[in-house]
Amino acid sequence: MSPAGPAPNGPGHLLQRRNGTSPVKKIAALALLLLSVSGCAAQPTPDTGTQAAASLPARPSASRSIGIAEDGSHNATDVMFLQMMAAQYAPADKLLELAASHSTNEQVKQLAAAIKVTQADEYKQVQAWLTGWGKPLAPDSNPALHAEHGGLPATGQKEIDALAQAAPADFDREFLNLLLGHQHQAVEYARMELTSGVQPQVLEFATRIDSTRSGEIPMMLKLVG
Amino acid sequence: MRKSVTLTILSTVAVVASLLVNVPAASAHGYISSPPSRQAQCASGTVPNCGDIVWEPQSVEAPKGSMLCNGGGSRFAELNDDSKPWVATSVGTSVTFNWVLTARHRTSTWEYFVGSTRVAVVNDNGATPGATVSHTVSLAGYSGRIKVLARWNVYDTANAFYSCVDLTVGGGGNPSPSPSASPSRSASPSPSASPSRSTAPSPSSSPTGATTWTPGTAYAVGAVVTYNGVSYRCLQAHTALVGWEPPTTPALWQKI
Repeated sequence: MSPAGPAPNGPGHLLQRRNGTSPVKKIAALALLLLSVSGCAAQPTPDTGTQAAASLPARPSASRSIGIAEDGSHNATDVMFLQMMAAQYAPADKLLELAASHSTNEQVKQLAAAIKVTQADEYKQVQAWLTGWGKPLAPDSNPALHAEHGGLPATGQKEIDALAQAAPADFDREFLNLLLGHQHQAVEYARMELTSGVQPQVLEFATRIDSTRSGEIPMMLKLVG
Repeated sequence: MRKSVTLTILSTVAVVASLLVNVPAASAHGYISSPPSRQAQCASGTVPNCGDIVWEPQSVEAPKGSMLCNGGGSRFAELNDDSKPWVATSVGTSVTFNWVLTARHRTSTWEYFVGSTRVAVVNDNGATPGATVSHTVSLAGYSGRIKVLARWNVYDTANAFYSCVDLTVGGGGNPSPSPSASPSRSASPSPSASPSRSTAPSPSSSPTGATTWTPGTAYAVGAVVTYNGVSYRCLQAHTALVGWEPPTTPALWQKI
C-alpha cells in the first residue's frame, strides 16, 4: 500500500501523539464516516488521538481536527492535494525552462534551475502516490472545488507563449511574478493538506512543500523588486 | 471539555463538508510585487515583525471601499503602521505597478490612490485578468515620499484586495528591475555571495573538512557538506532552503 517514496523522517517528526480519548474517537469515526460518504477510500484509522504539534517550520501550525492514518491509508484531502500539485508541475516546468534560456540574471537562472530539478523529483513522487492509489493525476475539473484552497494554476500555454515573447528587459519580472503565483498556490495547497490530510508520508511531503516554497518566495521577491 | 469537543466536531464537519459541497468561488488573491508593496516587503523579509502577513501577502482581502492598507479588516494591521521601516522605491513621474495573482477572478476595477485622491482607475468591466497584471500610472504633480493605496475590486464579490506601495517621486526614472543586484554574468556563482540574512549559524567543521549543511548558504557545484554525519556533494548550484535537505533532494546533492 505504501508507495515507494522517500520517508527519511517518519510522521513522528511532524506530529506528536497524544493519548486518545473516547470523545475524540467518536469524532474521528464521524469524520471517517463522512469521508467515506464523499467517495474516497479512507480507511479507519487505528489511532485517533493524534494532533498537530507546533513543529511545522517557521509557520503557525495548522489546526487539525482529524487524526493521522498510521497505517498509511489516505483520504480525499490527500488525493486532492496531490492532484492539485500534479496540475502545477508541468506548467511550472515550462516557465522554469524558459528562465534558463531567457533570463540574463545569474541569480534568477540559478534559483530557477534548482527549483526545476527539485520539482521534477517531487512530481515523480506525486505521480507514484496517485497511480499507486488508482487515482487520476488530474484534479476534479470543477474549479469551485479548489477555489478556497488557492485555485488551480492559471498558467496555460497562452501565458507561457507570452512569457517566451517578453522583451528581455521584462522577462525576469514576468517570470518571477508568474512563478510567485504558483508557489503561493502551493503553500495554500500544503496548508490544506496539513489541516485535513491523514497520510503520514503525504503530510511530510506537504511540510516540505510548505517550507521550500516559503523559502523561495522571499528570494524571488528580492529579485523582482 | 465538552465545549472544545463540540467545536472539534463542528470543525471536523466543516472540513469534511468543504470536500463535499461546491463552495462558491471567492478566493481571488493578489498583491503588488514591484515596486515592492508593504506586504511584499514583509514577505521578503525586508521589513521585520509583520505578523502573519509574511505567509500570505496575497490575502489582504476586505470589503470594498476602505482607504487602509489592510482594507480595514481585523488582520494584518501592521500594514497600516506608517512608522515601520518601509522602503520607498524611487520613481519618476510615472510608475508601473506589477501584480502577482494566485487566482484569476472576474474584476471590476483596479484603483490607485494617493491620499484621498484617486490617481488612476482601470475598469475591467468584469473581465478575467491575465496571469499577471501591470498598470502604468502617472504621478505628475507629486514629488517626494508618497504612499499609494491600490485596490483590486473583485467583480462578483463584495470584497477587494489591498496593497500599499511606498514611493519617492522625482529625482530618478522608473526603478531598475533589480536595484542592488549586480549579478556576475560570466563568473560561476560564488558560495559567499549569499543574499540571505546574516544570521545563519556558522558552519562547523567536520573531520573531513566539509561543513555542515546550513539553510541560507549558497552552494556551488562540487561543494561538500555533511548532514546527519553523511557527506554529500553539490550537483546543482543553489542557496539551501529548509526542505531541501540533502537526503530528500537527490537532484541537488549526491551522497559520497
